[in-house]
Amino acid sequence: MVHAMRDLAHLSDEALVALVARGEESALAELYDRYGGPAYSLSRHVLRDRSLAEDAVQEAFLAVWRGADRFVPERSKAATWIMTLVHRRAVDLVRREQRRRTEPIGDIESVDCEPSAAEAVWLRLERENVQQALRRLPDHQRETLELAYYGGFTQSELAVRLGRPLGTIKSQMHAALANLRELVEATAREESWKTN
Amino acid sequence: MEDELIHTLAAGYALHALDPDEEQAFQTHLATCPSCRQDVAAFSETASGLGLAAPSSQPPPELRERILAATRVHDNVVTMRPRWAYPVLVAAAAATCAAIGLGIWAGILHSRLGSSNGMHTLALHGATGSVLVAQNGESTLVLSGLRPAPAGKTYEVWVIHGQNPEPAGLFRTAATTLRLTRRVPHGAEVGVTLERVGGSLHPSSTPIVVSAAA
Repeated sequence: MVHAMRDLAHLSDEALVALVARGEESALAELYDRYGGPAYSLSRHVLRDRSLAEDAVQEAFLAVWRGADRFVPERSKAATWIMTLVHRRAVDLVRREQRRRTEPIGDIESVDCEPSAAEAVWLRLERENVQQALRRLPDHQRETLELAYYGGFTQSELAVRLGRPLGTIKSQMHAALANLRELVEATAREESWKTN
Repeated sequence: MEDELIHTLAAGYALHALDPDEEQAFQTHLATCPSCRQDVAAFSETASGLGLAAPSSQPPPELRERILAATRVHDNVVTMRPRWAYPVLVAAAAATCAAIGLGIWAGILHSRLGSSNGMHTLALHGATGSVLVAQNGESTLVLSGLRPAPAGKTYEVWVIHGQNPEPAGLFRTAATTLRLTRRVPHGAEVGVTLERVGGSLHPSSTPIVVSAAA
């Protein structure tokens, strides 16, 4: 049973999730091989603690294992689903552990960890793409997004922290994510232009 | 009016940044609002891009095996997926791996549950492990070192309080992390017997594993 599905590398993420839903452990292993790295990186960035980050990743992948039969590929990409699970676990943990940042989140590009050589090319491109898009956002929008997503702050906490009315935070957050989406898509279009 | 406001929450929801009651209200709203579902889907994809853009760091290599071991423990026991009804030999092999993961898993459970107030632990006799009992009596049996249940048989867990043992869960593997279906009141013990597959309403023998009293 363990050896039955050796070669899963050619399968799409969504096909792997379908196999996980049938209880195929090797498919979960393959999903981990694809997303374990980014999942851990994100958890680590949110939690700033190794063992809590490991807990968050483990819980998220167990949620994938348990929830795979309810995943609807028409509704979202498997990558989105997995990263959403990871992010929610990490943020819930950071809130529970009262580990949220008091200092501002440093510029995302100035990080000490070098991407490993083994890291997949698609991931490196995706990271560059999103970081570039982030840099193009107006400062207050980027700040709102980063504090919410990486910092784990809720909207009303942000209102207090940034000294802006809650309504402003809500609309800024909406505008920021909508802008980011357009910028990311635009860059992706440019990229595909270059390669075609 | 309220409805109009609620439509603007999709971005905050995708970022997991809504305040808890608002998040819950929005979740309820999502069930009946296809356009918000669409917004959430699109926003979530962008948000997960932020996730992929986090600075890269390497997970420890053992995390992979720990996760896989935890899934084995999980469905050997907690959900009893029917696919686990395969021959004892394979189950034994899986259980060995599971037992390795189990120690870690139990450790995590311990640290997680132990930190919440009023959690206590009952020692087991007859197998390695313990019962973790929360203040409200909700309990998890963490155990290893049994033989996998023979064909046609299952282990059954009992909460024994006074003269009346009451069924509290089934498992078939040599090691398990099982959330009991019944609370363990003060003074009660937890026992394990071997029963026919499907379980019984009353234990057919004295317990092969028994815990200290809660």
